[in-house]
Amino acid sequence: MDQAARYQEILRRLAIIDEKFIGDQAGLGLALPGARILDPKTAALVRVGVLAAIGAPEVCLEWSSSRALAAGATEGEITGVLLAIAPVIGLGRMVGATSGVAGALGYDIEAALDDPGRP
Amino acid sequence: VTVDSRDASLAAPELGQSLLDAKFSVPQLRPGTVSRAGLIQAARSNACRLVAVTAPAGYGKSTFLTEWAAREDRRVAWVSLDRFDDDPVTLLASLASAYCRAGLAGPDLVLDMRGQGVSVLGRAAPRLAAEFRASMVPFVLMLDDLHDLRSSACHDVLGIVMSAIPRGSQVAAASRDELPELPRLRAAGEALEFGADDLALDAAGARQIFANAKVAVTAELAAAVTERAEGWPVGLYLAALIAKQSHGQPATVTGEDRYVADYLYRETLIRQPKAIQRFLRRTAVLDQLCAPLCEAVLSSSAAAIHLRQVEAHSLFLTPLDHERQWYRYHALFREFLLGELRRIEPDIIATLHQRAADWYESSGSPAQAVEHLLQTTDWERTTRLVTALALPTYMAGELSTVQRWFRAVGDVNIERYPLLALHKCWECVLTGDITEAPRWAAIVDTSSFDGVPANGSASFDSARALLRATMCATGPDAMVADASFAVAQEAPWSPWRDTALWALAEAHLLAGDLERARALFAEASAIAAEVGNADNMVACESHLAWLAMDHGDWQEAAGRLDLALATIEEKRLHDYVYSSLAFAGAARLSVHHGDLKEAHRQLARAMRARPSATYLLPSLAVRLRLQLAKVYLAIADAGTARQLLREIDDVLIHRPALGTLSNEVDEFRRALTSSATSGQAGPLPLTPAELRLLPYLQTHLTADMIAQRLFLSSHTVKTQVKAVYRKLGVSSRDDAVQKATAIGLLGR
Repeated sequence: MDQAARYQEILRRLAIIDEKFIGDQAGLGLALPGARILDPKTAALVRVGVLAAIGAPEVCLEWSSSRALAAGATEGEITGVLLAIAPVIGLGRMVGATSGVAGALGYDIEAALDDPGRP
Repeated sequence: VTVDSRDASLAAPELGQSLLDAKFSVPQLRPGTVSRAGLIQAARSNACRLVAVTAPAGYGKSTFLTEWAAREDRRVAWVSLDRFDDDPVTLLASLASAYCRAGLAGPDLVLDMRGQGVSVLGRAAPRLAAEFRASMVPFVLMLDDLHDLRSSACHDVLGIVMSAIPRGSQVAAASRDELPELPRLRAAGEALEFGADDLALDAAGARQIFANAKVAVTAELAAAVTERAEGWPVGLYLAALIAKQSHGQPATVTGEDRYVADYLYRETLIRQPKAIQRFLRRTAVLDQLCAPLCEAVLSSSAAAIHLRQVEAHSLFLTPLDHERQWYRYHALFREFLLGELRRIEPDIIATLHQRAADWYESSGSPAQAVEHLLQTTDWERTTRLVTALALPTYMAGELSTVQRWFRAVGDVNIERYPLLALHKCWECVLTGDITEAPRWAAIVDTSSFDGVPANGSASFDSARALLRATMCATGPDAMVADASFAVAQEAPWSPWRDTALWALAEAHLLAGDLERARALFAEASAIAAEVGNADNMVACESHLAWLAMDHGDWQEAAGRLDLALATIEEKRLHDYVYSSLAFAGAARLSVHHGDLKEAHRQLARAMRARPSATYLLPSLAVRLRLQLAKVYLAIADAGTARQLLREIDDVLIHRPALGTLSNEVDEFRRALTSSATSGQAGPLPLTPAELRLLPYLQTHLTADMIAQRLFLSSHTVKTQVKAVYRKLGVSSRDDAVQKATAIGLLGR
């Protein structure tokens, strides 16, 4: 693979949060800790909250919310995290997180806001 | 003289085969055609995948392709497209048929394009594309009249198929309008284009045309006529014909204007006897003509003679078969004749269509009769015929034809005919159309009909009860009552008997009466096998297999699943919504046998089929996902099991009353919560929404265009694309398609 194709692929894989690639190449093991004090579901929900708090990009919220669902969290618990941390992270950060979370929950928030016939 | 319909049916030439032969055969090159050898040489020696011939009517596009085909030494697959091809399933079947007739593939390929509920973009198109890509023999796929394809769905399909044309092979497409695929291929240097300027004839061409018509013309006059006609071939041809008929000077021609064509055609027409004029005008309502059909439509025994005269005068008639029984008019001439018909005797048009429908119906071609009836306002008869044909047509894998009829009849008319509304509702339920189905269900609920149903069921009430039972909107008790009513009504010879028994079996399964359910499934399966309702048989055998596995009878289950899976292969039922039960059962059996590779293969097939199992079929939607979730938990994939459980909850919001199935879900939920495998390290499964998006990654559509197709915001499409890439472990569109194909989510 030539140099250009190589760095372009790195950027693409980072942009979509390719967990295996990030673990192997950037040394960031993203798997949820199974045997620690927090159970995987709680740990996953904390990650959602923290990513919202630091104003992480949308794809991070989408990824972490998907992982939280897979760890057994419900849709209500994930949106509950946003509401719970709102007072400490502020309106902007909370609203900023909605789009990524909605993506993970399979809810097309923009189409829903656009379309009068849709809830 | 009125033609006796029985005689007509006896005299009816082999319709279907002749028309198919004509559709996929290279037309015969007319003697004396002005040669385009130079253009053909340029096209053949070019490495471009696509040769696009774009010009208005009458420029000799078809003739160009015909001559090319005659000079071609590679295999030629030819399709004369028509308005019926403006449907992705039909189009794919046509392309596959042409490819097979060129000796490039076996008939299985055509069967693969048609299957009950086949996924066009997800299965059929990539299947054909793979066949093209793997071709060892260079070929040219010639597509005439491509302008008849108007729907974006058809061009999506065409895009996928064209990208698969291997080096050394080509697509040659003739169209009146520029192809939507052209700008992209042009930018990629993949297209060679010929336009009206390239096809226009010069003075030498004009002289050849006049010479063929045995009209003497000087070089100066030929040059002048050519200049006035701007080289428009049909203009020159008409001018020569008129000159011949009037023994005079060539008519004045200016440009390619349609009015000029009309003028020239009219000049040609008025030189014919009145009876021939009338014959031409009235038979223009026919897509294709044969003598008995013309006699029926014109109610005159002279029609056959007129047809022979028209052919003898070479009045724009193309033979469709070697026996010269079937013909069609040249497109432009037919458009002119129809214009004349509308102008001169508009009131007779509906009658002509009705007579054509009579003839087709009595000749055993009811589907052709429907096409003519749709041109009339006789909704009573149209809906009766469509109702009678809906089920067999659907069973033959022609769902798209039924859908086209529904569109042509229109919602307003469907609403007025309860039985047709019922079929419309079935169609929505089986395709998972959650926006339309509830409306149609409500219409059916409030309708009543006392006549004899044209669809073969015992009564409208019975047919409706069966639909209600399948939709199970209010729980198992009502489902048992509805299904029992249908079973009591549908006699042993009814084509709906097995469906009714199957619905009753499902109802008893929900109500917790496993023994009765088992007996009814077995009875339904036996009848379904006997009458050839393969889809019902697959569903019943899959249920029986799962019940057997619950009892630890793995051998019985294996036998039933073998039968179900073999039937799915044979009848191409892979995308039929109930087939997913067979895949889920096979996955469970493979896990039991310790064959994890096979288990994953079957799981992928079931997961892929699940999006169309919506709350409209609540029992199936929940049971399938519960079965899959159990298998996933058994192979320690709790994340996927949870995803399925969430989908189950979405169904239960709409249909909370599902009897014992609800209890089973609760039980499984508890098992999952207490399961040790709560972490999820592996990739997550694609959601139904992501599965719907996946096939579009094979096209060159942008996120915005995909969003339009799926009624989503482009933002959501972009998010979903990223999630799909992440889950598949890829970082580009091509890689995503390759990986999805490898793990069985796309293609065969």
